[in-house]
Amino acid sequence: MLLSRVLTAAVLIPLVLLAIFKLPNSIFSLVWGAIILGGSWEWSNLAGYKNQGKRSVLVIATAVALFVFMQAPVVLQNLLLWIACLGWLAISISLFVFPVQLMARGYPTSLLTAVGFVVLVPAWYALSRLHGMENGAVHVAYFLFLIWIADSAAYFAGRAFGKNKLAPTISPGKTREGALGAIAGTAVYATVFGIFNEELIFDFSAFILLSVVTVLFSICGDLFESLAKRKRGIKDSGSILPGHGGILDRVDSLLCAAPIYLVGLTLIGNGLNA
Amino acid sequence: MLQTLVSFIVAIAILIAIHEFGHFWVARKVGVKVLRFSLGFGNPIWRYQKDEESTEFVLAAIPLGGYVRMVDEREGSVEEKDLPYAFNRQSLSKRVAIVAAGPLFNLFFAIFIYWAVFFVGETGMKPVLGPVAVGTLAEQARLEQGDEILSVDGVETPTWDLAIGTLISKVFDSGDIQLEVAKTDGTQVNRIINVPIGFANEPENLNEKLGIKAWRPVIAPVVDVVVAGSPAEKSGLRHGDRIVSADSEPIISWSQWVDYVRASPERLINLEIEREGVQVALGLTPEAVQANGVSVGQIGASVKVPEALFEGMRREYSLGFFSALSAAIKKTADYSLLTLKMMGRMLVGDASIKNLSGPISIAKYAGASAAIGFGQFIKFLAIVSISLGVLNLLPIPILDGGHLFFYLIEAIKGSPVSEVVQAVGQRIGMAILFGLMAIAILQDVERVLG
Repeated sequence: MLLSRVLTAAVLIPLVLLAIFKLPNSIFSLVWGAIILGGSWEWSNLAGYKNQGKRSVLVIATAVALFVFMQAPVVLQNLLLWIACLGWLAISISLFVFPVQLMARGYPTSLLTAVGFVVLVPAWYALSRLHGMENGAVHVAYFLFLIWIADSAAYFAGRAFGKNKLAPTISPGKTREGALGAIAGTAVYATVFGIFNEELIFDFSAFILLSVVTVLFSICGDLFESLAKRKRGIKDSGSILPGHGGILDRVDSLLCAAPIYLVGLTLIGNGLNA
Repeated sequence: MLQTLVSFIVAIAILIAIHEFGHFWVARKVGVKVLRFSLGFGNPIWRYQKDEESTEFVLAAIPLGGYVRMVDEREGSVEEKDLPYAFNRQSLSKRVAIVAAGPLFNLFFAIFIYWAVFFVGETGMKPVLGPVAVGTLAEQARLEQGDEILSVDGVETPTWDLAIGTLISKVFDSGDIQLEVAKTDGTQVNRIINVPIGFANEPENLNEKLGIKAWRPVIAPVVDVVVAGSPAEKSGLRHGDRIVSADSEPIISWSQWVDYVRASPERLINLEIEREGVQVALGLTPEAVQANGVSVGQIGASVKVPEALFEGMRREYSLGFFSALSAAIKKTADYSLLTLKMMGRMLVGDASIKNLSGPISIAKYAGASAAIGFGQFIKFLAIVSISLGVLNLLPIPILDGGHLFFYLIEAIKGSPVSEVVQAVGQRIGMAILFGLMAIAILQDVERVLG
């Protein structure tokens, strides 16, 4: 399990870096869009669609949504991005304050379908837009490694010290010690990156804070997908990547963290103009 | 001072009335019974109620707030017949609409004002450049005195305010800014300002840092009005005197003279003037006044500006019905985002926490803009209306945005958020708000004293 995980990562990481730094923004957005559409295929299963035809329709609808969103006026795009962040904040709080109610509630397929759009579309837009910014490639690379380092730190810290469950009702595998490990790993990584890329950063301490907040939300994004899977009684969302489960399992933490990171950058002074 | 106070109260009263009217109007539309619509809080000083069953309209003593009281089981016992009209019995979407209406009406009001301003039109100065400072971005972009800026990054800029406003909003991001420029000989050229990273990190005096200022016609240094009791009067300066030289330095324009005086607070200037064809020597000591924390000289004399000089520099501009509307929406969105950005920078402890305006500063701006004229005052109203709308939408419990946020959680979890959780949230919200208010008022007091 661990071995195939490491091997997959060893192949994926250079590919991803190549895509981030070599591709122009338009192509990058297309590639990232294709991944999002793969996620939408898996989400349609989580939402409760069995029929492959219906699932395909949903994927096409997502593609249309991405296209429409791309054409929308910047004002509207910004607004939806902020609303997505508020939505994630509400979801994150609910995950910890009302886990029992969330597990007990029956969510109709229509609602879950809508949630899929709200989760996937802003995430696609946020990362594409981040990539299109000045020094966007560096920011995207920083962001992706932030999430992966936090993931790995959580995994190893959880294995070494894990005792107290983080959210026992939703995901029995996650521990508070793992989450602390993720925060510690993030802080170290953000500091090191900040020292070597001072010219990219508006405010050092704010940047580290933003990185930690982004990671906290990425954990919530993870928990959110666990919730969706548990409610459907599924272990992995798909089985495309050996050892990593499906596409959604890989990008679940990105989905929530990408809008948060972009909006956070705006708030501390980098990026995003009207 | 009186005008400041009156303008402030008028501004706040208008904006609160609009905000509360939003709640009131939508509540009535969706069928909630409204018991009272109050402008101001505290003791009622005027009330009107058509009959027992209709809404009571109240003006209250303290004009710094207001409220709409609806039938609600959580706030007291409700008669059986009123139950279907109670706020807490409404569906989630109706409650969302009622709560969101207040802040949204503030934003709509701002859009309406900007729409009216753009549609009716304004008179501004043409965006013609004065001397371009050496070693600045403007010089590197080969901008020259006399150039008229036609557009910035494709946005047409018919007036100086529009040109400089658009330009400043662009320099917060590094990279190239495209300018279309008309030279004095009538040819059109493209210029590119290359903004380095971190240029706008200290957002004060950005146009000076860019190296551009507006072209001003040369005005002869002839005194018009001398203020009684001022240093100018004490020195013997009179109406009609032409300043020839100061400390042997020849003075050729009024702006040169103003610069000289400003640089000489409480320092004796040996002045040579021409009065009815005769050269006269005077000694003049400007008094020191504070401007932006720096001590500058002032003498209490003004110049007569010949109207004709500015005739050719004026430009009327207005937009069509729909383009004015879209420009107004864009402007409101821009200011909303700017408000959020400012708050964000303050939260991370950036120096711009000094930008947090408390009631005292808002009152001062209200007074100042009212003094300039009605047009300025309604634009000021628009900006404060946007701040009010955006602030109220923040997800802080006790604000409208906090309620909306609880409704969002209600939608996720499938049942209303418990009273206990709401109470905890409200305490946190109170703490945040009082903290912000304390900082704002402290900043204000510091500004007034400093």
